[in-house]
Amino acid sequence: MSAWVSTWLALSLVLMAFSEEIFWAGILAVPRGQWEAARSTGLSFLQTLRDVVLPQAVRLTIPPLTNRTIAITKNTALGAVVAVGEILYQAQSAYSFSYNPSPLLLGAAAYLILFIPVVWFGRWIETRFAWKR
Amino acid sequence: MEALIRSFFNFDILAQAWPILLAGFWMTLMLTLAVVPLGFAGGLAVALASTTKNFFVRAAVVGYVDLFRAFPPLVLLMLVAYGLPFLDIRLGAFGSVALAFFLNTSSYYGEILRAGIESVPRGQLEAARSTGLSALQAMAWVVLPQAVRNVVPDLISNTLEVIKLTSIASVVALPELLHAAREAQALTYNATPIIAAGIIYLVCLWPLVRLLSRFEHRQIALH
Repeated sequence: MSAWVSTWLALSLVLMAFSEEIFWAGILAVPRGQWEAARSTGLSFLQTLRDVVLPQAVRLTIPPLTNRTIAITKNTALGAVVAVGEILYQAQSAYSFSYNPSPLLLGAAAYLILFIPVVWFGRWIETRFAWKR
Repeated sequence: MEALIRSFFNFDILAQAWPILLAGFWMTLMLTLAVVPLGFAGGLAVALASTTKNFFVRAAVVGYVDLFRAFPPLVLLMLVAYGLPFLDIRLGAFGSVALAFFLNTSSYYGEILRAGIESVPRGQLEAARSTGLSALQAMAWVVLPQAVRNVVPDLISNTLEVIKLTSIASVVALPELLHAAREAQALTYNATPIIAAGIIYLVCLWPLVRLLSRFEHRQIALH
């Protein structure tokens, strides 16, 4: 398995476990009455899940899911540990090559340019889909 | 099958590697005890600062939180550990890890606690103030206890993340559990120590994960 595939697999599995928990919490957060009402109008179990419960559940899960996805995406920097040639790895090589921390600083700046808009997007999503009572 | 057992579940190797792993485990524990309370205190300061009416303070807090939420923890650690010595600031491996984690976790704890404080109805603060409590007393005795209660699952979840994240300290050669395991792996040329380290993490964090699930169930049940 190449380093790239290992990193991809490890991060995907972590995100998978977290999103499972988030979706599950979202489904449980939909009041039971919604299930009962949908079933009593004659919808099948699958129809209820697809047309009534999931649309409400997914809405609730969007903010935590966005946050978690951002957190995991940031951790692609961990790929540097197994020598995937991503930003941090390149910055580290350049740093040890030149014995000067400027490449590290530049790499950090690259991460900020990439991720600050994503964090802002996350904030916007949070307010946009905030739980309205 | 035998090859699998020999290279991943080898008890002779485990017996040899055990002292190194144990030392690593203690270092991870010390790191956790240093990093979690420090990050939480920083987060509390961030959350309290974000409740002031002063525009500049609030903008500074949002800037701080966004900055360190966008920064991958590993990159931050690299920058602190390998960048600061060029400015003649030498913190050592433990100090670098502590500083990097403080910056990272205080912004996360800060966001969580801010959400908690905002979830407490304003009437609580007003009622507390009208009974003669000072702003500080009202915050400390009325608002904060309710705020923390509301975000307990998120606080536990973040703490879990922080403890797991202490494993990245291995890249700056701090001899914590993962570093110890990799050292033992290199010494014995066998993957058993890594598996053992994984099991140690699992055994230590499992109760926290169960606790988190229980709190989450309770919160869902309250809705």
